Amino acid sequence: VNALALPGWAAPRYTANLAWSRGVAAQQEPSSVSEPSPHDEAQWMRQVAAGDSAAYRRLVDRYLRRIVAYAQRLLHDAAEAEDVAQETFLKLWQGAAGYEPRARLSSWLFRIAHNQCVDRLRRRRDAGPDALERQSAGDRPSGLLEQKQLAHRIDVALAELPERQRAAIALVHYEGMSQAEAAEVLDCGVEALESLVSRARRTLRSALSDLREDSP
Amino acid sequence: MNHDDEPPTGPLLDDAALDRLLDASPALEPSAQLMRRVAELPLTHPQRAPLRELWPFASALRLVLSGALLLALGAASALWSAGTAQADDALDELSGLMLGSDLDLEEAP
Repeated sequence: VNALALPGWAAPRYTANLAWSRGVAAQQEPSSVSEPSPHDEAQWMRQVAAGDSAAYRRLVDRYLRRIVAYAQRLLHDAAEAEDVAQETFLKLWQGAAGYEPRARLSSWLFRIAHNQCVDRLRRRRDAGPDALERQSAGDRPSGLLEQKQLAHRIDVALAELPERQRAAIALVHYEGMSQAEAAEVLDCGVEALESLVSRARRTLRSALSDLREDSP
Repeated sequence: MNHDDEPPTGPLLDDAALDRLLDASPALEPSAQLMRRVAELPLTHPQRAPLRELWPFASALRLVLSGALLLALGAASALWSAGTAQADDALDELSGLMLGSDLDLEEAP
């Protein structure tokens, strides 16, 4: 995994996402020997509900980066993504007693974050074209380095996807979720999720086709 | 994944190439400020007691049983008070009679 050094960028701090894609999120926590099971996470949530801040910290260590990255993929705004992450963890802390272990914790958390992102995107739409411009342009400067330009192109292509397709790609590709898990987050069936991913990938392949390795 | 219905618009990226491109878009790292704010949430935001902790009846059945128990206790208490009242009346009469006869005895020469 090649971490990108981007010293000239003002607000966002980026690293390569390969560690998180395709279900290898454990790589972001080198100290953790094994993935906690859903049973472990349910136990941590019970401890959080009882006011155990050590259990809360374990969940922050495990999910904060992923939630920030997901919100950024949807919102294309670093400050808003961080606000979403903070709100999500506030809801985790204050609402742990309401968590039902029937749902996977990751689905529960990502759904909270997703709903907040959707609210913010809706407010942007209501606010008018100026606010939308921020989404399509992203907050990355272009033209500094080839790799930055490439990342910017991809971000713009992702930003131009419809909201649910973008969320589906972010969950399945970048967060490495199974389609069933991503469908839980988006509150849809697995077939609908497959269709979202399929349409998103088709649009991206078309939008980025000039970046083929054999293209001039 | 089914890509059979793609429009034939010339050569597109294959799946592996698209994956590689998507991976070139890095993820946002949380700032130190955010990490601190999130870590401090337990200190700055005390947990709210969930409603079900304040509500003593975990289920509707328990609510009905609790109501039935209260009714039974009320009925038992009413019966007991009625019985006690009758016994008190009888005691009053008896003590009146006894006290009256005692006075008569004291006043006798």
